[in-house]
Amino acid sequence: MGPVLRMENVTKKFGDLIANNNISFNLNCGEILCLLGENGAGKTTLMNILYGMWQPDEGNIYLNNKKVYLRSPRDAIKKKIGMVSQHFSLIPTITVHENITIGKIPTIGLSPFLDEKKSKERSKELAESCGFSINLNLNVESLSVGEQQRVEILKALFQGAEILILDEPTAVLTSQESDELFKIIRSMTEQNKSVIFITHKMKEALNCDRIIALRSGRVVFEERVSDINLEKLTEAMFGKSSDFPVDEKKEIKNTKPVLELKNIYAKDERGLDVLKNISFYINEGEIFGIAGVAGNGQRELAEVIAGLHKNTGGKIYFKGIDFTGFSPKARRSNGIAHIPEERHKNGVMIDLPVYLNLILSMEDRKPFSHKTILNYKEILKFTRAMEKDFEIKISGPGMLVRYLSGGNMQKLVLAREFSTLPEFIIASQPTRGLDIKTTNFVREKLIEERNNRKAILLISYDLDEIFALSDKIGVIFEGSITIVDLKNTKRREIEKMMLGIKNDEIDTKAAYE
Amino acid sequence: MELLLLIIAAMFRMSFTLFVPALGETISQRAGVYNVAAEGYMLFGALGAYLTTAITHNAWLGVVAGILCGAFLSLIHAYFSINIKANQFVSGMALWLFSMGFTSYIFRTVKVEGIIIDGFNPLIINHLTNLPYIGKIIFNESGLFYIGILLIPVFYIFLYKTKLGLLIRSTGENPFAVDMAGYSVYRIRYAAVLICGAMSGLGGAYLPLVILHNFNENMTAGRGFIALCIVILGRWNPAGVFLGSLLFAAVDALQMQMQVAGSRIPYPLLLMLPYVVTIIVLVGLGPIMRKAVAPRKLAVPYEKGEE
Amino acid sequence: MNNAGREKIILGRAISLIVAFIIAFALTSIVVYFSGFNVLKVFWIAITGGFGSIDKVSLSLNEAAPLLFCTLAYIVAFKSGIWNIGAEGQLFVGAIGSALAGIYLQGLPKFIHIITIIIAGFVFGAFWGFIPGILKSKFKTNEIITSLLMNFIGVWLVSYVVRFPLKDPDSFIAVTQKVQDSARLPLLVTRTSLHMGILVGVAVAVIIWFIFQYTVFGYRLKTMGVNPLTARFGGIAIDKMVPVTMIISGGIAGLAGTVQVSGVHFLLTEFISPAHYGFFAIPLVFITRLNPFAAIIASIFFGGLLTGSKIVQLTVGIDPNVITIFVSLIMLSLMLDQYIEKGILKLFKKV
Repeated sequence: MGPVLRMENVTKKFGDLIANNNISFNLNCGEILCLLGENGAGKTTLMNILYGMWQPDEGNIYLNNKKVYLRSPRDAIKKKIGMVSQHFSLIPTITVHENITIGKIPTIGLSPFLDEKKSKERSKELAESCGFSINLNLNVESLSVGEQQRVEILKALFQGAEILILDEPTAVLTSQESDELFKIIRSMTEQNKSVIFITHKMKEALNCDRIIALRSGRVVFEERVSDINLEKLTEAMFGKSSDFPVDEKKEIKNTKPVLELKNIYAKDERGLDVLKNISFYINEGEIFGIAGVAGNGQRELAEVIAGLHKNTGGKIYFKGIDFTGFSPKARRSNGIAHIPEERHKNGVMIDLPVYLNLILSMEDRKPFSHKTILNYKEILKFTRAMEKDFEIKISGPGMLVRYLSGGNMQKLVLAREFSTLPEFIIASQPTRGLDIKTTNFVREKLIEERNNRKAILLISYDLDEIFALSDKIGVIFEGSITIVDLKNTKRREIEKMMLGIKNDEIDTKAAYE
Repeated sequence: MELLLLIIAAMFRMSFTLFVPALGETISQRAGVYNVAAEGYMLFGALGAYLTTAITHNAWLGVVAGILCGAFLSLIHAYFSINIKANQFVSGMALWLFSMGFTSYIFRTVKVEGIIIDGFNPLIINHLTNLPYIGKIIFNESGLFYIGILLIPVFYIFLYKTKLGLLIRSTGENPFAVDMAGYSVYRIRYAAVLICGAMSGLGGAYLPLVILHNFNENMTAGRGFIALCIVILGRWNPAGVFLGSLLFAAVDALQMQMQVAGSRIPYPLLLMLPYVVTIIVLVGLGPIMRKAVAPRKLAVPYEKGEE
Repeated sequence: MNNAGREKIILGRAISLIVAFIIAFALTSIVVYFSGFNVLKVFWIAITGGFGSIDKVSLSLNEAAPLLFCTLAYIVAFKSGIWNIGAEGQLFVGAIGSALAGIYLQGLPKFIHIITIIIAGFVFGAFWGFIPGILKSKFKTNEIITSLLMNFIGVWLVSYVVRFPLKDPDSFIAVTQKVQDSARLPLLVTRTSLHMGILVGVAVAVIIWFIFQYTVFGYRLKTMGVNPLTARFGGIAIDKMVPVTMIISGGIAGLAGTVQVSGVHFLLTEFISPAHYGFFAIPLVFITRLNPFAAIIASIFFGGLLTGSKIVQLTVGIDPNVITIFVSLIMLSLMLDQYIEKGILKLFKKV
C-alpha cells in the first residue's frame, strides 16, 4: 500500500513572493507527519492548498495514487481531508453533537425535524473510537479551548476524514491538554487515519513519526524522528552555519540606559501568559536585537513598551522615570517611536494622503501646527524633505497611501517615526516584505540613528538582520528573554535557543509553567 | 375591575402586532440580518391588507395580501444586505422612509379613505367566551389572534427542532462554518429575511383587519421599532419575545386607557419605556455578561469563502 | 494636490450619483404615471416650484435649514467613524432647550436672547448625543442602535413636555406657550418668513469644514474615522474623542430644533419636525459624501423639493409623498451604485 497522500512539485506564488517552491512529500497511512517551519516558511500555504482553499500554480496532489483537483474546502472534505485550524469553524450557540453532525444533519425520515438521538449516538461512537468522552449536550461556547478542539476533530471525523491536518493545534492549549491531544492523535492513527501536524515548535515535532522542515518555501529536511539529529535539523532550519561576527560598528562612549524593563509580565487576549519575567536595559547608541521565531511574545513586547498593551506585572523605566502607567501619547511625547509590525493595519491611514500620514503623532507639535491650527506650508515642506531624504516614490504629496508600494509605505513610516526625534525606537520587523534595496536603506537608517546615540529595540524573525545590526542580542522563546553572551556563543547555539533546544535536548517541562 | 379586565384584554389583543413581527425579526437576526425596516414591512402589510379587503370584502385574502406585501419589501432588503452587502442599517432606514412615503402616497391617491372594512371580529367560542373574567380577557378574540398565538410554539419548534432552524441559528454565529459544511448561506439568509417580512406584514395586517377596521397613515406607530427592542429584551428566542411583547403591549394598553380617561399621569413617559429599558439592557449585555448574546455575526455581510 | 487616483474616485462618485438620480427618477415616474399624472410636469414643478417666488424661496430655505443642521451633524459623526443616526431625537431635545430659553427668559435684549436660545439648543442636543457616545466609549455599546432608539425617546420626551409640564394652559391643543418676541429668529428678508437659520447653518458648515481641514482636532477625527487602529497607535485617545464628537454632532442637530422653534413655529409642538428632518438627512448625508459644502447645496435643493412637493400638490393634485419616495429611492440606488462604482474602479485598476 503506497502513500495515502502525495504532493508533487507544488509551487504557489503570490506576486513576487514564492510561498511554496517545488515542494514534494508523501504521507503514509497511519503516520503522524510533522510539518515544521517558522512563520512564513510556507507550511500554512501548503496546507491551505491541500484543503482546497487555494490552487497551486504548479504541481499535483495524489490521494491513494489518484490525481485529484481540490477547488474548495468542500472538495477536500468530500475527498476525506479534514482540517482543524487555529480559527475554529464551530458554531458556539449550538451543542457539541449538533456541531459534529452539521455536515449531514440527521433528520427524522424525510421530515424537517432533527433526529437528536441519532446525532448523539454518532457523536458518542466517534468520541469513544478516539478514546475520550465529551459532554454532548453542552453548547460549544461553554467548552474550554481544548475541548472545542476535540469537537473540531470529531467533526472532521464525522465528515469522513482519513487525512487530518492540524494547524498549530497546541498554540492554545495547556501542557496537559497538549499531552491529551497527542494521545487522541495516536488513537486515530491506530485506526489507520493519517495526520499532518503543523507547528513551529521543536518539542511537538519530536512527538511525531516523521518531520519535514520547510524554509523559505522549500523542503530542507526530512527524517524519521527515531533517526533524528537535532544539529542537522537546526542547520536545515537556519542554513549553513557561518560564524560571522557581529558587524563592526562605531563605538559610542559614555552611555546611560535609556529604556529599562524590570520583571515585566503580560497576558494575551485569552488570558494566557505571553511575557514572563522580562528584564533588560538598552543604552544610548545601542541596538538590542531580539531574535526569535514568531509567536513567542514579540508583538506583545513591542506593544507593552509602546503602551498599547497592559502589562500585568513589572515596571518600565524610560530615562530613569517610571513609565509603567503612561498612555501611548505620553510615551510618544517623551521620545518613544515605534515602527509597527503590520504597517497596513496600524502603521498608516490608507485612505488619507501622504502628507497627513507623515505627521501622525506629531500633529500637535510645531511647526506642523500652531495653537491647534495646522500649518500646511510647513507640512508640505516637511513632506518634500522626507520624500527626498527617505527616497519615497510618490506622485505628489496628496497621493493616497493606498497606492504606495509596500517598500514606500515602510519608508513613509520610518520617515515619520524618525522625525518625531525620538530617543528610543521600537523597530518590529522593519524590513518585512521589502526588496533588497529598500531593506538595505532601512538598515542603514537604523544604524544612522544608533550612531546618533538613539537606543533601538530591534525585533526580527530574520537572524541575519539581527546579526547585521545588533550591538546586543537576546533570544525570546515562549515569553522569556535570554541575553546572549556574544563573545562566547556561536550562531548555531543562538538558533537552537530560538527553537527551545538546550544541550541538544528539548526541555518539555519548563516552558509551560 | 372591569377596567382592569379591559386593559388586560387590550394587552392581549394588541400584543399580536408586537410578537408576530418580533418573531419574524428574531428569525432574521438569528441568521445574521438586521431588519431596521420592520416598521416598513408592517406598513406595507397594513395597507395591502386594507386595500385587498376593501376591494374583495374577504378578510383572509387581506391576510394573504398583508403577508405578501411585507415579504415583497423584505426581499429588497435581503438583496441589498446579502448580495450587495450594503450596510444593513442604512438600507433599512432607506426602505423604511420609502415605505412611509409609498404607503402614504398610495393611500391618499387611491382615495379609499374612510372605507370601513369588516375584517375580523371576535369569535364567540361557546363555552370559553362565557367564562367569568378569563372569557373576556383571552377568549374574546378573533380567529387571526389565535393563529398568532399558535405561531409562538410553531416558531419555537421551527427554530430549535428543525434542520432549517438549526442552520438559521448557526448562520448568525459562524456563516463560514455553515458554508464549509455544504449549505448556502445566501439561501438561508434569504429565507430568514422573507420570514421576517412575512411576519411583519402579518403583524401590520392585523391593525386594519382586527383593531381599526380602517387605515390611517401612522397606524404602526413605531411598533416595528419596538419589535427590534423586543428581540433584544427577549434574548433572541421566541418565548422571551412573547413575554417582552406582552410587557410592551401592557404598557401600550395602559397608556391608551390613560389618554382616554384624560388622566394626569404623563403617559408619554410610559411610551418611552420600551426604548429606555432596551438601552439599559444593551449596556448591561456588554461587560456584565461574558458571553455575547446577540448573534455574533449579526449585521455582518458574508463573503463566500471568507472567514 | 489631486492625482490620478483622486480624480478617478471623484469621477466615480459623480457618475454613481447621476445614475442613482436616474434610477430613482425612473422608478418614481412609474408610480407617477400610473397615478395618472404627467411625469415631466410633476418633476418640473417639484424641482423648480420651490424657487418660483420670494415667498417660495423663503419656505425652501427654511426647510433647508434644519435639513442642513442634521446633515452636518451626521457628517461630523460619520467622518469620525461614529455611526450616529439619532439626529431626529437630538433635534427634538434641542428644541426643548430652545423653547425653555425662549419662553421663560424674559426681558433680555434680542441679541442676547437669540444667542441664548442657540446655546440652549446646542447644549440640549449635545447632551442627547453624548449619551450614545459615552455608552460606546465606556461599555462598547453599539451606537447605531442606541442613537436609533434615542430618537423615539426624544420624540416622546417632547410629547410629554408639551402635554404636561410646559403645556400652554390657555390652549386646547398640545403646545407650549409662544416664545418671547425677543427669542424669534430675525428675518433675512422683511415681510417673508425667511429666518436666519440658513445663514447659521452655512456658518456651521464652514466651521465644520475648517475644523476637519485645518485643526489638529479635525485631523485626529479623520484619522479615527479612516483607521482607528492606526489612530490609537499614533497616540490618539479614541475613548475620549468619541463622546466629544457626539457632543458636537448632537449639538448641531439640536440647532435644527432651535431654528424650528424660534424661526418657524415659535413654540414647541409635537410637529416640530414635520418632514422628519433627522431621518431625511440620512439619505442626504450619503448623497453629499460627507462634504459640508455639498451638504449646503443638497439641503437647499431638497428644501426646495419639499416646498415644491406642496406646490405640485396644489397645482397638479399629486400627493407630496411622491418626493419622499423619490429621495428614498435615490438613497437605495446610491447603495447599488457603490457596488457598481467598486466594479468600475476595479476595471480601471486592471487597465
